[in-house]
Amino acid sequence: MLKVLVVDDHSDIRRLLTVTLGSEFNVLEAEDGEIALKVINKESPDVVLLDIMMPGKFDGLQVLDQIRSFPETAKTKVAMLTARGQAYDVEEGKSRGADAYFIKPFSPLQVINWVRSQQR
Amino acid sequence: MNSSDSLNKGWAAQDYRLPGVDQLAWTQLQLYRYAEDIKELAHSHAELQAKLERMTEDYEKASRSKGLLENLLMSISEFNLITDNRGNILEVSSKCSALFGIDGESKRHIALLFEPADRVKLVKLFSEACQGWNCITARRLDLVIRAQGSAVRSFYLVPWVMSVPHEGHTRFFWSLRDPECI
Repeated sequence: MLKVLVVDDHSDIRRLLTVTLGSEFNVLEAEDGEIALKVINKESPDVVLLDIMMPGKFDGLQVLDQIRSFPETAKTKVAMLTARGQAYDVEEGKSRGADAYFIKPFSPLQVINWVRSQQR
Repeated sequence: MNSSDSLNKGWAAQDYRLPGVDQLAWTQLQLYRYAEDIKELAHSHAELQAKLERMTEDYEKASRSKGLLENLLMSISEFNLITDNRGNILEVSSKCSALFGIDGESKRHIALLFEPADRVKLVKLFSEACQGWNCITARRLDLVIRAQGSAVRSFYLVPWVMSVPHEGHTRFFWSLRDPECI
């Protein structure tokens, strides 16, 4: 079963995503970038759904940089999940190695379909 | 870290947020998005349901037609028989049964009804019918039929072979017609 890490400081969004994906995937949660990196190192999730705007030591883009910088985690599939929907933001996410970009409020169907597509 | 740094960091984090939009509002917006997707799913579900009902109806019609066709083929007074996709006889019409002295229970291969010299032609015809899924294949072949009681009667027959999917398998309907009588 695919292991999916949901990283968002907003507990309701984490909960919604866990409920949305939980019946098909093994869902882990992290409430900020620092915790996310610890979970990634420990659990090696296949997919990370990563909020950009998070308080704390690392925002989502910095977490993405960390994921891409280590060979063990570099190939992890990462989707950015954020309210920053400007073309510049999308480009920024892509250029830093994001595999997908979902703008909040996101379509749960699109998210679940994308996660499903990572299984193949 | 002094209070100014803390404030700046706080501002930096807050800078990403849309002004005036708190977590509750985001939850509300996100729930609206879920509602839209659920509505879309419900619509797709209704469409799929309708499609499934239509397909079930069509399948039932097709099954009824298939039954009718089978009954028709077997009830008419002709040399009709049904084989499986290996050529084993499953059912025979009464006229066929009288000619060959067999019934559907005998499980004989259709080729065994004919003289060895003609079996190759028959197997070729059957092979062509197998390739033409659900198509009607007709070929005039001069076959010598081994009749009941080991007596050999020469017939000039046109075998028509029709393949029909039946409960996941293919059945072949054979109709042997004497061109002299057509």
